[in-house]
Amino acid sequence: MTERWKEQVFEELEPPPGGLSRLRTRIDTHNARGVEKNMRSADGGTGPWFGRAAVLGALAVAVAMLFVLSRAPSERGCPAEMWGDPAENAHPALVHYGLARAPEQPVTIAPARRHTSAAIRVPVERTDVVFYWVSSAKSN
Amino acid sequence: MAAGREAIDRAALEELYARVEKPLYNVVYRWLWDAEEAHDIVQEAFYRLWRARARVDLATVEPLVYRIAINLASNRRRSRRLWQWVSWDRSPRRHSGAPDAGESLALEQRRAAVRRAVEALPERQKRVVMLCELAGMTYRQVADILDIPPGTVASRRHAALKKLRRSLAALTAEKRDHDRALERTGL
Repeated sequence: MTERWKEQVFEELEPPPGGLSRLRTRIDTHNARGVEKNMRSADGGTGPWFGRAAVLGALAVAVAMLFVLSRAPSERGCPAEMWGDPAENAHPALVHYGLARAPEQPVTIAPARRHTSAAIRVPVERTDVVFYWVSSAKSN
Repeated sequence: MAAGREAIDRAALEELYARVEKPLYNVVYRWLWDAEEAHDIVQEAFYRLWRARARVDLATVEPLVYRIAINLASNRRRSRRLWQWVSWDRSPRRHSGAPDAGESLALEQRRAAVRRAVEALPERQKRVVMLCELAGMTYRQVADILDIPPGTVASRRHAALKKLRRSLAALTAEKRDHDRALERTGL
């Protein structure tokens, strides 16, 4: 039995013509750029001054943002009215950026769900683990 | 460069290109299903090889260019995330002359069926079977490219061929039933 399906799957296709000359052109361009760059380096310059200034400026802004974000919310002086009810606003992203205060307990129940949900802290031996049992009743 | 290595020069790269362009293109095409994109990936793989030539040993350059090209094709495909049907003007060239309209339709249907069967393969099986069948590589060579034992190459190739045969048999039977149904309804 001839394996016709195999011929169909592994049919040999012809690549578009001119591949080698396209590659040659690309390599020539790359090499020419390299020569140009080396010549610029030999002249003592690596580009326009404002290019380097822009990079330095961007770096400075990034460092400043990292410094601000790495500080605790209280150190940043976030206004108290931004925080509101921790149970409502304590989304991890908001807490991370200092826009909400972290809840005192890792698990809190939103006021709207307090009549159907409950959370009980389960004591564990490890001090680095906080274990909660959270349960919700269906409300129709 | 480490001692004992033979560097790649321009002539060696061009000789390699002339030798592996077609099999590499065929392998990459099975990831992208687009002639121009597959050609671009082959070019990009060789260009990257040229840029990294100082760190590449001539003895291992062929497996390396296959690995680069397959990874590039796989990444391109992942970033594309769109299922594109092959339009006629972007279809690959074949050996023979241009077919007529009826043949073109049949050819496109067959290619679509083949494509579905190949796409159904798990990536690791697909890599193995394409390198074995389209690049004509030995198990040892494929093992070097994919960094897996030759025994694994053999088992994955076997599994892939089995799946392809089954998929295509199912697709052929499905098409036959469809054609019969059309005949019965007089369409």
